[in-house]
Amino acid sequence: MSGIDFNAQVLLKAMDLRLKKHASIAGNIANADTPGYRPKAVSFESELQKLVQSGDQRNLQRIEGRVHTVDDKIPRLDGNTVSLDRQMAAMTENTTIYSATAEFLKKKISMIKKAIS
Amino acid sequence: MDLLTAIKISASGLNAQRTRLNVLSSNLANANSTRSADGEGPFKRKNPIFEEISLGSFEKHLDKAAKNLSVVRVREVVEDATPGERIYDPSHPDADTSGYVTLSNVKVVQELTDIMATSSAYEANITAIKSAKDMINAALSIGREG
Repeated sequence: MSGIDFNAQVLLKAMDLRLKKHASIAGNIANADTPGYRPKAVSFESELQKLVQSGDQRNLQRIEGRVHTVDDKIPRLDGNTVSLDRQMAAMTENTTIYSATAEFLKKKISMIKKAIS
Repeated sequence: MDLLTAIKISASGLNAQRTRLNVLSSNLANANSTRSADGEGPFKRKNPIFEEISLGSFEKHLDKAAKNLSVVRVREVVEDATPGERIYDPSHPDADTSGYVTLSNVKVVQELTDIMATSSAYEANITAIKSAKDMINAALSIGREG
């Protein structure tokens, strides 16, 4: 992956992490009725932003995204704290940004292709 | 972490909700049953209990990131021990010696609202799968023509 430029690498990493985020949201939705379950969130945005600003290429692959527990609301009687609405909103946001990232990467690659030909 | 992990997670949710729907339907169908399958007393309403399972134990070969994610499954189906209502009907074959029949403890309205909740939770999982599919298609479109 080190052959392509830094921006494309960042886009690739972002897609990778968004996919992970989607898996965590899917897990929260699947467990929306599990007694005692607390939703998990994956955060990487600030970490990635810091890295892009510093332009540090070597540490890019080290970003894995932190998984932490975030309660959506006051626990229900069974101790579950998932809010389905919040998770659905987070999922829509994540999917949209993922598609946008993919679109950017596509443009990037088409530019490289143009340059080659 | 591969593209299909999220779909597997959502599929476990679909599976659990479908099981719940089956249990609730059985409760509703047996709302008037005065004899249970084992022949002891009236039908008792059943309640599915869900359980979170770590994806790490679900899929051994996945990377360490998967350890923090979880799928769902139905741990057990428990019986609601609440006693049912008793009515006086000496002609009923299930009446006890004093002429009282114990009805099932199913509350029809409660089952119906639970079925509505199950249905919307099922749809939420379907939406998650659709989103995952959109994401996969977006990633695949990078390779197309460009």
